[in-house]
Amino acid sequence: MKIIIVDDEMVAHHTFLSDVIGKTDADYRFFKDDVPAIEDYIRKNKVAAAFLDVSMPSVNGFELAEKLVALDGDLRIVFVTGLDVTPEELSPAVRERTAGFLYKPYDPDELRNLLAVIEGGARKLTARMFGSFECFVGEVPVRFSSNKSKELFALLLAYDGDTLSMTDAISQLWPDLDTDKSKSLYRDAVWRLRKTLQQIGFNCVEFRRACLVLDKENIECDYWDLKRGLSSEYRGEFCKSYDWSVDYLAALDVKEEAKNRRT
Amino acid sequence: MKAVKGKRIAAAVVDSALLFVGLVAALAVRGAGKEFGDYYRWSVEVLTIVELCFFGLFLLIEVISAFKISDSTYHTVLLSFSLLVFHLTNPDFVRFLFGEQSAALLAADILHFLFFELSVLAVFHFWNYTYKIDCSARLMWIAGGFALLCFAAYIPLCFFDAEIAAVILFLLGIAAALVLLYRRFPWGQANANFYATEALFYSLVGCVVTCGICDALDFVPYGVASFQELPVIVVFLAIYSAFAMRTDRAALQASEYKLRYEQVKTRALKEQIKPHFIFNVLAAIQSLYRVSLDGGDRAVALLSKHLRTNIEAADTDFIPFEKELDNVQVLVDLENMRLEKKVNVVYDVDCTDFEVPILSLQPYVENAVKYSRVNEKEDGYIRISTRRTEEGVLLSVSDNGVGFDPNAVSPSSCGIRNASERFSMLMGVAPAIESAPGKGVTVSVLIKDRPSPSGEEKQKGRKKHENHHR
Repeated sequence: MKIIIVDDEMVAHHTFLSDVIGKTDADYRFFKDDVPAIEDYIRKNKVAAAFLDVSMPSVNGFELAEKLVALDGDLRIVFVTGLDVTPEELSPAVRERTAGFLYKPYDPDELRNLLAVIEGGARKLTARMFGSFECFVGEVPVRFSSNKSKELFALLLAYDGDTLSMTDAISQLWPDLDTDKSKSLYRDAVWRLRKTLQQIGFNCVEFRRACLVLDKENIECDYWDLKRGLSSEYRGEFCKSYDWSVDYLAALDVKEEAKNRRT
Repeated sequence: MKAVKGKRIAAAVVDSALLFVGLVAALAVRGAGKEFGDYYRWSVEVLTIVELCFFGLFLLIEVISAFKISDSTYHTVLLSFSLLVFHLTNPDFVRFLFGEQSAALLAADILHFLFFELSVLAVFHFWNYTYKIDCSARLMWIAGGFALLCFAAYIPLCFFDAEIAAVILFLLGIAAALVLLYRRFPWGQANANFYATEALFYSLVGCVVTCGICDALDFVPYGVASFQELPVIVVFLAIYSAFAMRTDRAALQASEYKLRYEQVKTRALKEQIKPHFIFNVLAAIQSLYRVSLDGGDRAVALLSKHLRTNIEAADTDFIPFEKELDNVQVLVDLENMRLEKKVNVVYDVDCTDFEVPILSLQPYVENAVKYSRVNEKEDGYIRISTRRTEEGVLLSVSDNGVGFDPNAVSPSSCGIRNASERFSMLMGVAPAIESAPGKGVTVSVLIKDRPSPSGEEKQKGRKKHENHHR
């Protein structure tokens, strides 16, 4: 995937960007605000995305985007800016091709997420439930903002697409607390899970009133694979340190035993 | 405001001067060679001219101001217009123009009667409208006093016709009875002043209608039509001046409100960007880079988000609650970067589909760390909760820290005062702060449902000021 980065203050930004993008498989090229050179490059190469600074001395990022989109209709645009800009300020043609905004200075993860979005195809969220529960987007582990929101997501995966009601979740995650407190903590976990999924760009959970439903598309999960007999990496451990995992362990052990007896 | 008042006064002076000139001119033209016996007839004609000038000017002023002010001015324009038409069809005026031609007179009588009723209805409607918005007792008494004065205008009529005198006395009696009635019974007492003046007004209308009928049936002598206009003009003037006073006051309040709001906002922004906080965070970032580049990058992004929000706050009033929660999380992440003991926030949020003033939650969270010392406690937490109730959303920020005695020296920072002030200015509700030593702090506020902001405002990031005066 080829991308170009246009910024007049390249000296300041160069090291950081090359460090971040260098770790991805994007083929990148820097440009100063030299419009003919950029247009020439776009014409000769299949460029997937252009990262444009908004305020540059010789050309405005919005105008440049207009020109580039006219040259190549498949080009995606990312605006990199120190200012506060909103999609409403863009022309419809540019808005349609805009993949996102990066506000300087930004978290490298945001840049990586955007690159992943631009690359398109099936972005997969990989969940590992055997052993300790972990989630990954590509190779990068997902950082949940609290342990309980992570555990809630694990439980949702264990439900395998079934609706997880608030009562169920509370009885599994906070069995010993009184109702009011556990409801507070449930809402907190739901909120944090929602934020985490928003950040990594996977809106795979439908947050309904007092229940959650998982959209299983784009998620890979070793536990689901085992259930469907696809593979078995089960080593007698399932969602370590989560109390509710015992019920699942029992079922898994029975299944495993049956399989072993057969072989 | 001074300029507006000055213009109003100037307009009044010009009006009076014009009226005076009109009066003198009419006297000079019509008065030449008149005998004393014609005096009454002649004065009616002068009166008619004066009234006409007056209405014309009035209408002009209203039309001009209608381009600037709206809504209620529209009512007055309509009113003046109907009064003007009414006056043009005044039988006295027709007599004055065409002499004693009976066909024109009859048509004028009928038209006059119709338009007159319309104007009375309009006056009454306007009266009601003024009452609903503002029922200041003083203004009502002024208007009532004017209405009473109007009766004086009928005294000359009594000399012409004993029947009219009887009708007027009868109506006065009804008015007095109504006033007494409203004063006596509890259901009337709440707005006794209004009902009393209303009763006077009704009986006045009764007088006018009676005279109108007499006039139409040719009971009374020439000139009555002009006389009965007087009370209407006076009542109308009374209401109009009451209305103008109220508009002035509202405008004054709005401009004061805006000024005060700007002050509070500027102070809030100054408070929010705390140099020592920023520098501490920068120092923490320095250390973070020694540990990991990723950690440092993340911290820089956090700080930039925090600063961006603060800068954005300069021209934004409201933001979606969800965004405000994100801002709180950024602040908490930054605090946790430099605090040895971490702050734990529980987002007990049941609904997020409403708006709050920008930077209105952070001060309470900061306060929970600074004064309630929630992070130093084992299992200490700050809980942000929202619940939908019938009246709106109940938003509360509580902690289980050491709390403070609200009656003792208030440790609440300027930040809290600013946030509370902004809540009450923008949303019309003041947050309630409850606390006791050892019990933590609870701040709660009921956010009433507002109509969702229009698309245009949404696009501009709601950068417009909203005037919340009544």
